Formats: sequence, structure tokens, C-alpha cells
Amino acid sequence: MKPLRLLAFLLSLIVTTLLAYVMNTPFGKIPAWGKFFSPHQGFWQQAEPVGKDFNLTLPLKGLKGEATVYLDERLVPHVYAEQQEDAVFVQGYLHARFRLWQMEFQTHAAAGRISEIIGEKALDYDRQQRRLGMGFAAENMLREMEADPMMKKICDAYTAGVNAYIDQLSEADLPLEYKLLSYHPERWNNLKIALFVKAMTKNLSAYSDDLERSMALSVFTDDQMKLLFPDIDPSLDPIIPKGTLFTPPTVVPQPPADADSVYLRKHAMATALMQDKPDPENGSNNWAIGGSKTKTGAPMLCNDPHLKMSLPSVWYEMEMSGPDINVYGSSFPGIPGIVIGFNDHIAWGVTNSERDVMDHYEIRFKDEQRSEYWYNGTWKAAQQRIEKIGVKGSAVFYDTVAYTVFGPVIFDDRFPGEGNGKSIAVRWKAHDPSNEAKAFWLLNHAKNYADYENAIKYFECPGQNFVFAAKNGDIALWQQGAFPAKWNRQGLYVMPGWDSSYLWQGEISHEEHPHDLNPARGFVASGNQRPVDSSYPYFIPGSYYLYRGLRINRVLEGLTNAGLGDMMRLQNDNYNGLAGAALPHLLSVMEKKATFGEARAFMDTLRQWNLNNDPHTIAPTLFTLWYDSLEAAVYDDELGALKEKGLYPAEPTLIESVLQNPDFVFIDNVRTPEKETWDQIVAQSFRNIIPVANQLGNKKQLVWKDYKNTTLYHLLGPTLMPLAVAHLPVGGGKHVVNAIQHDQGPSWKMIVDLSGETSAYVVYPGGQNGNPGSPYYQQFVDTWSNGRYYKAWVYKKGKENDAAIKWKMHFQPAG
Amino acid sequence: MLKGFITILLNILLAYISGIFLPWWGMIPVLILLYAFVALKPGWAFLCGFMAMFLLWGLLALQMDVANNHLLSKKISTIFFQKEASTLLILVTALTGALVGGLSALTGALARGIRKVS
Repeated sequence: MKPLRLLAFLLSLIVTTLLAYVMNTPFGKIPAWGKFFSPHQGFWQQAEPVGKDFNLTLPLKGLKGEATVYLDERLVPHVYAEQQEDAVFVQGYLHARFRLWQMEFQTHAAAGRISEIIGEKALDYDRQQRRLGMGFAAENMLREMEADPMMKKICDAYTAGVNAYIDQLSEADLPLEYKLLSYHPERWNNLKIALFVKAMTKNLSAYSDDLERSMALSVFTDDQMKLLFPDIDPSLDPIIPKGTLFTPPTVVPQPPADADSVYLRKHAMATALMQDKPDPENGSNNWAIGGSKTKTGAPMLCNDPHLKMSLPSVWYEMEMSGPDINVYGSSFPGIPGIVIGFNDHIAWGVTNSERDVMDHYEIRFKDEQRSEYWYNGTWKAAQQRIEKIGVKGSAVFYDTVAYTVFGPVIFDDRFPGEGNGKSIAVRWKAHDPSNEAKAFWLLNHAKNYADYENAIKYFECPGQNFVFAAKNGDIALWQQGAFPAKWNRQGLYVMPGWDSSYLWQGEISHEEHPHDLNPARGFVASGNQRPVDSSYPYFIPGSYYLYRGLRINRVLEGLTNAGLGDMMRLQNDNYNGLAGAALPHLLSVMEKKATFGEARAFMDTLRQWNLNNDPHTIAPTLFTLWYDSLEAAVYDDELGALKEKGLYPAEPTLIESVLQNPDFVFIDNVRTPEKETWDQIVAQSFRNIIPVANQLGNKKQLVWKDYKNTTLYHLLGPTLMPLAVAHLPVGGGKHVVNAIQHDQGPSWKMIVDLSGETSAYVVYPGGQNGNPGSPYYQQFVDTWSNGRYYKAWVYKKGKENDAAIKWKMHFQPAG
Repeated sequence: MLKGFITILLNILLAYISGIFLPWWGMIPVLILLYAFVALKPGWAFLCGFMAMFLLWGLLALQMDVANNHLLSKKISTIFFQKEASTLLILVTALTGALVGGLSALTGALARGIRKVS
């Protein structure tokens, strides 16, 4: 009897223990089952009760004095700290409290550390990040930031605040994504602040097609490339009005002696291409109108940055106030300060400059060791940086990256894959030491134009258009950044990496940057268009946008006595600039052609179209299909395989060229003996879209909002659709001021009225709490979709018991 | 019957407290000890442990789900079961707890058997 009892017990104990072990172990995509489902520790803990009480009193180690956070009904925190730096400490704490997972994930991604979390499938991504020099760039920035006593204090306070939250984080409170992916956060540090800045810098300045264009040089001449990728579009309306006089250049870069015979000549160019290029649509709108144009006589400032619109949002709205600061706006969880916003004296906003600050060089290594490369007629030693990449579920991976005078070697025989032929080094402005977070911090404190101009000087990369308006009535815009002075055509193609004369030769000085202060036309504005016309004395290549800027300028020119409604209307303006330029011309071509049946119905729809990309109409879809089909008919015979590589002319190029010259050389289909005319191609491409449009109609995807299917993906992407929001009923699109595309667009919208007591109207596609189980996770999405705004509640001393305040968090220094 | 009822209540109480202070699997040793002291036949012990943990985890999940207006449970059930089924998710939670609870209770009751005989 006894042995049997014992056996039964042991068996039961083993089974129970085994079950516990299995349920405490993640398998593939399945998290540790028991832990995950445990109501005490698992995902249920992230089921935030509706109407949760956020009141809190907490001692925090590292805080210098008392600090209070007043949370309003949208969960927007209004921080008041009695001691300097404490406002930043509390900001760090709040970022971590509401957005910890995303800030760590984004900085891990920047550093090329995703394999640590999801294993081998991220290895190529991580290697690419490291070979791009993301870590190298962040380390350079960290040194520069920490050498600045003020920024050292600010960053230390921010980091201490983030860690104050992480250090007391319980297993139960771990954000959902950690539980899904079975890992834990590490402590924050100042390097991560730099990494976050570099992640954003990559988004906004690492779009480059040097490699693709070099491949194209084996098919086209440089003159043909100028037609496909023109420097300036004829209908450009630059940020700085045409006719502005520029001073002669202070730096005159000398083209290398063999630029024409070697660099611009056809050469075989087989190489790897960057795998995850930033979205070229990352752009923005901003403008400020002066008192001469407003009802109140005071300026108004507007900004809507277009970034990937993910959940949780990249933005976190907040106000920071203390003895020397009172600033409201949008912050990036991951860095201290407010990025876009206003204070008691000024308001500011940013758009991307789209300037090209990334060039590529072909490197000739002596041998497989890649420790020496040919440079100015001799072998030069390349520094080796060993990248150690942790990989979940397998051994640590080591990648050796050679660093040359031109920068890190991004592609060589070892990456990506084996045997890519050429070795390519990347020279990126973001590698150089800089202190962008300081620019934001100084802007947060700026009181006037001089403070603003001084603040933005610290902003080097990515180049931005800083728009400015002040209570005293000043409005201004500077295109700010550290821009290399390039000789004509420099850096458009891969340059010889064995000749120092191809290096960047100097920088355009701050004073020479395109800027405007209180212009006679009463406004300043930018929509990522080329900042200046051809009279600017430097060669400034970039991936500029044409039509948004054009539309904004037209509307602002026409405004008088403007009010809040006019600003909201313009941010939500659905006018399609490309259609405005192209459609009247295309329709006039079709006048001569008879259409029947469905084609007739579609044609009528287009004729009656008001050119607005409104969500519930089909004309925007028809136009988009038609223009795409037209481009394919014109270019694809010549561009062929290059299109698959991602090289394609910008959309305005075709219509801008044809309107200038109906015999645009690429119209003829080189695959057919006869010579096609523009009219034939226009009619044919229209006929081509009829079956496509019919198919879309059958699938209920022809209406613009359905065709576009605007979606806010979770940061982990389309694999986690339950945490995303899809099928938003919104209009807008590319070439539209309301720049909402599929998953990219106005990620933060702000209108600031500087009359009387400054008021602001804001919204973003997301919510303040990054927890997918919180009612605040996607709280603002409907308001944003409807093109509406929230009036920002602004804290002032004495408003502590205002009805707008729902909860208070009190923080005291801990002993 | 009454003994079983009291055991279930004790089980719920102890497992609830252990859940707050110990990792999720902390309930296993706690329940083994509990059932080693309560005189229940192994089959009954399993049933009590199963029922108790089914109720505890199920009710906790239900309460959190209702308070959360099913926001999260819809998302999580879609991730794991491809449909918005809050009730299913609560059921899975309850069964997960119940299985571990039942086995722990069984082990405890069997341990008691060894002691009694020796």
C-alpha cells in the first residue's frame, strides 16, 4: 500500500511541477501560459478599469522638491515642479508610466537590438542599423550632450525620472507588450535619449536613392537623369518667396577634376540596397500668419507633422511648468522637453527640410580583411568596430564594421548576405556630434525671436523648417540644419571612395540658410517643398514635395481677417494638388475621344469632381489609378528593372514635364516600332483602369476611404492587428494638405492663437495611455478622424482646483 | 460536503493572498500544504482545488473584464483565438487556474496519504 501511495504522490507532484514549468515557459509566439493568464500577474492587469482613479501620492528618490501633476480629462498631464529640472524628472516618470514599452522598443530598434527580443528574424534589421552607424551616431551625440553642463543636468534628471518608474515596476504592472513577447525592461540611460533622437533623424534624413540612381547610370546618361529627377519643378512655389535676394556663397565647393569623366559616367553598379528605408512621405505642414491677416491682430501658428501613425502614438501631449518654464505641446517619449508647442511668449513648429545629407562612397579594400582601403594613392587603415548582437534563442552574433574617412561601410561581401560585389560606405550628417535635444530645451524657454534663433542653431540633423510666432507679433521661419556645401551633382550617385576630393568640403553657414522674418505677404509657410528657387547660391538636392506647399501658399495669400476656423479648414483641406495640375489637362485630351458604358460613367465622375480627396467619393481613386497607369505607360519601358529596385520619378515630374514640353522624351514606348503620342497614351491608360476600377468596385474598395484604408498599426506592425485601428473613414492623401495616407500622415495637429491669453487647439491619432487595455489608448482617434480638435487646457498658478483637473499626482523627494 | 465547501473557501482565500505576494505558481506549494492538512479523498481534493481555482481566476478575470468594459479581452481573444470573445477568454483563464489548482490539491491530498500510512 505504502509504496503505491508514495508513487501516486510522486507522480502527481511531477505532473504538477511539469505543468507549472510548461506554463511558465514561452513557446514561440505563445507567452508563458500560466503567467500570462494569471489574473494577478498576467495580461488582465492591463485591463484598466474605465474611470480609473489616477490620484497618487508618491515619494520619489532623486526629486529635489515637491512636484504635482494635474491630469485633465484627456489624461494630459500638467506638471508643476518647484525646483528646476524636477519638471523634466517628472516628465521622464510620466513617459515611463504611460509609454515605457514604446520608448524602450524604439530605442532598442535604433540601436539594432531587436534580435534580443524576437530572435534571428530581426538579425538583418539589426545589422543594417548598426552598419548605418546608428549606435556610433548616438554615442557621438551623447558625448556632445554630456559635455554641455545644462544638457547633462536635464538628461540626468529625465533618466532618473524614467528609472524611478522602472525601479518600482512590479511584474503585474509590466506593460502588455512585455508580457506578450516575454521580456523585461532594462534601466534607462542618457544614451537611449540620443538613440531616440537618432531614430527620428533616420526617419527624416536617411531617405536616399544614391545607390538606385547609380544603377540607373548604366542605362541613362546624367542628362536623362536630370529629366527624370529634375532639381526644380517649374511650378515650384518655394518656402522663401521667389525673387528673394541671396548673398554670394561663403563656401564655394570645388568639383573634383574627374567628376565629369569618372563620377558622372556610366559605370557598372551592382550593390545591395538599404532594406528598410524610411518612408519618403515623412514630411509635414507648418505656417504662421501675422496680425495683418487675423481678426485679432495677433499671429496664429499651425503645425502638423506627418509621420508613421502608429499606436501607441509617437507623441505624448503634456505641459511642463516650474520656476523658469511654462511650456505646452507634444513630446517624444524618450527625450526631455517639448518638441512642438508654445509657452507664455512664443509658439513653434517643425517640418522636414527633405535636404539630402546622406551620401555614399564606393570603397576598394585591399583584401578580405577589410582593414585597409585604397585612398589618395595609398593603402589606408580602416577602423574596425565590432558589433555584438544578442539573439534570442541562439548565440551572440558578431559583425565587424569597417569605418573609413567617409563613414561606416554599410554594405560589403558580408552584408546583406554574401557576395554583393561592391563595398559601400555611407557619409551621413547624423554621424557628426550634435545636440538637437538642446535646441528643443532652449525653444521651450524662448521668449522672443532672438531666443528662437539662438535655440535652433543647435539643431543640425535632420534639417528642419522651424516656424515661429511670438506674442509681440513677430512671425518667422528658418530652414535650419547642418548642410554640406555641395558642388553641382555631388552625392546624387555613389562617389569614388579612393579620392579625398570627393569628400564634403564645408558647411553652409547658418546666416545663409533660407529664412524669413515678418515678410510683407503676412505669412510664412512650408510643406516640404524646395526652400528656395534656383537663385539660391548652393546645390541643394533633396526629396522635396511640390503641391502641398503650393496649396498652402495659395490659401494663405487669399486670407484676410482670418480666424480659428480658417486654420482648421486649411489643416483639413482635401484639395488634391496633383489632380489640380494634371486633371484639367488630361480631361482636355479626352475631350477628343468618345467613351461609352462604364468608361463614360467614370469619365463623367472625373469631370464633375471638385478635386477634393473626400472620403466617400470615388473620383480620387479613379484619378489615382489613372495617373499611376499613365506613369507606368510612360516610364516602365525605359525604367524596367529599376522600378522594382524602388527607383521611380516623383509624381509631379510627369505632368510638370509634359505641360512644359508635350514631346517629353519618355512618352514613346521603346518596345514598339511606332512612335506613341501623349494623347494616345493618355487615352490608353484611361482604358486600362476600367477593369481595375470595376474589380475594386466589386470588392467595395473603390470609394476613396476604402481604397486608402487608413490604418493605425500597432508599433509591432501588421502581425498585431487586434491592437490596431483600421478602416478609418478619412479623406486626404498624398499631394493633399490633409496628408492622411494609408498609415502615414498628420501625427499631431496644433493651432496656436497668440492673441490675449494664448489658446491652442490640438489633436493626434492615438491617446495618452500606451496601454492597449486602457480606454485612453485610442481616445482621440474619432476626433482626429472627424477633423476636429480639443481646446488645450493650460495650467496657471491658482488653477489647481479648476474643474478641468480630474486627478492629481503628488511627488515628494524620498530620503 | 461542508468540509469541501470550507476547503474551497480556504483555498480561494490562500490562493488570492499568494497571488498578490508570490509569482503565479506560488499557489502550487500553498495548495499542496493546504490539502495535505485537510482530510479529503484525492478525488474530492482534485475537485475542490479545481472548483476553487476555477472560481477565483474566473471571477477575478470577470470582474476586471467588466470594469474594463471588455476593451482588452476583445483584443487578446482576437490575438489568440481570432475572434472577439471575452467570455471564452475568461473561461480559458478559469480553466488554466483550475487545472493547476486541481493538480496541486491532488498532490497535497496524496502527500497526506503517505503521512497517514507511515
